Amino acid sequence: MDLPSKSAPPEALAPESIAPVPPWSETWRMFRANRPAVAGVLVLVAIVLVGLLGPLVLQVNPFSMVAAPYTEPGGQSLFGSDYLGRDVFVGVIYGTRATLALGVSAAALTVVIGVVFGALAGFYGGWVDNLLMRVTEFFQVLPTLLFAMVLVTVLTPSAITVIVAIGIVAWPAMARLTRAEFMKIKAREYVAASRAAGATNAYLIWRIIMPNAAPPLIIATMLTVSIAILFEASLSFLGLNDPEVMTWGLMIGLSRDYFLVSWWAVTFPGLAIFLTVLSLTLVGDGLNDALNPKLRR
Amino acid sequence: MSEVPTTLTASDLCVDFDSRTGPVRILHHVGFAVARGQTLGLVGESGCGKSMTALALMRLIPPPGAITQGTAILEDDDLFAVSEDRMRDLRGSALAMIFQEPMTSLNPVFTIGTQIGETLREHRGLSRNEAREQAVELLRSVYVPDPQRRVNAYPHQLSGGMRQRVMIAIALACNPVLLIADEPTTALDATVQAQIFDLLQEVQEQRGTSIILVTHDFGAVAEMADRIIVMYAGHNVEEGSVEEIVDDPRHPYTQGLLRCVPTVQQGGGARAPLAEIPGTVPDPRRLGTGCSFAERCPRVLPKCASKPPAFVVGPGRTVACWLVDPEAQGVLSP
Repeated sequence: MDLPSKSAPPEALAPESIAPVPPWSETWRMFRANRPAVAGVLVLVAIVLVGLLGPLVLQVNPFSMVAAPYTEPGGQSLFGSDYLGRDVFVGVIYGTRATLALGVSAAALTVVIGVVFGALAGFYGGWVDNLLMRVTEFFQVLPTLLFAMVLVTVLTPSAITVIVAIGIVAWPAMARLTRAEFMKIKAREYVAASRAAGATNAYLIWRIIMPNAAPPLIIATMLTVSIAILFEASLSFLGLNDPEVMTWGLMIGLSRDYFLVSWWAVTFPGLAIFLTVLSLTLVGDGLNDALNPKLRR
Repeated sequence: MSEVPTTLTASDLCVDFDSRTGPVRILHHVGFAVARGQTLGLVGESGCGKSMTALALMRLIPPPGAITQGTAILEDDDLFAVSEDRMRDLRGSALAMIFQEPMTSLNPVFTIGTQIGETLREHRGLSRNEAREQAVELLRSVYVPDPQRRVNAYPHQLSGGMRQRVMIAIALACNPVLLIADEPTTALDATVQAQIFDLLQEVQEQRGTSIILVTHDFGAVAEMADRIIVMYAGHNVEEGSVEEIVDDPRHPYTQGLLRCVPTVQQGGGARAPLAEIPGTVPDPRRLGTGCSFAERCPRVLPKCASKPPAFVVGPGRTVACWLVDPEAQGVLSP
């Protein structure tokens, strides 16, 4: 077996050394070079840590009125208090967890519906594609904010209904992206080769095409989280939210009428949203560049 | 021929594609047999139906195409009659296929070890570790150097020739009785081409695999094949052993194809212009009732307005051309 055969290629006799480099290390190298994206990751990590640990450290009910109304920032309450004397700093810290959880849940729902629809439509084509895309278009032509408002109102405002409403209005974009990726990748020769090796349709969809379609979908998922956070803020601003869950959107919505007397009550939660969305976008951008094979050297 | 058992017998294979103007026939009653441990070459120009024949055997004709007629007996199964589930079992285990483009036929996101192992896990039910060990052995058997390490390589880290070896390893993973190779070396350069053919021949000798080699390259079939089928416009126009076809082509199309094979002239003498067959393969939608090669044929006869049957001109040797019609012998012989 070890004897050189005429079937052996010449380089078999002098194996040059190759160190198998998984594609991920290349991606990481590209990502690390993108400073804004790395900054975004650091800020995101900090925000997530605040969300996880903040409430454990503070041990205060964010709804309790601890200071005089309209207390200015500084002194004993860092971000001041709102019109009922609730501490804005405590609210921002507690709101981190709920806002992130809400954004991530809504994005997860969006991704699940969108990817399943898009994958099936793109893979099977034909009448399946037609049917699923008509359904997608039906949801896409609805005015998103208005439709979400109607849903939340009809289903009574709660964290769950807000998540469902965002998921329902946001998934068509995900479905169209997934479909386009699947249509592109299913024509690749390695898909035909896998089929010829006996792969089932389910295997082709999830194990062959999905990993290759993943990069743009990962980026879209990141951006969907920020869209969901902004959407939640919009709904809250209009008073359509769960009054028992402290989110940044709720804080802005409640203090909306007192903006001129206590700017701090809306500005600090607003800054928190801005910072989160900005860092999500920077990370998404960085991933986009790092996962795009055309930009690799 | 008769002493060697047959692996695959295909007969009367027809493939139609639906079009706006009704079904269009792409393959017309194609039939052939492949003996155990032998290689059948399917030769013809682009668009003559040779790749379609290969895909039909795998039952992977892309829609709107469909197999409308015929049988293909592989061991005990009729490939065109078994259930889709059974067919899936057979693909990759009893019959396997190697594609033309080794650069794009491997999945870029998985290591080659994973990709070889998947077939084994799927068809043989091996564990992850067993599949990996097998993958190393398979890489060794197709002479991929340093298989212990290459098993962890990603496709983009390998050259075209190495990737085609990996494709062959995947195809051989479950020891298929029939290997369909669709232009396996077209994308590779000449020296690598010869290595791949040597490898396929060695595999065939060791395992007794039957091979169907689809190619437009007469040089390749002459080297590899035992028998040749020449296809034109979805028809089987001439069949015979390699020697018979190469030394004594009877169909004007085969004669034309053989003249087109470029030869390297020794000594740098005056170069003869490369021969070509005028025209192109006809549009399958506009095939008349006559011989499909008639409009390009240099020796066309009035009789060619009707379709020639496959005349048997020797044991296992057929020619679908009026020129070999025994009733016309003497009048028409060149």
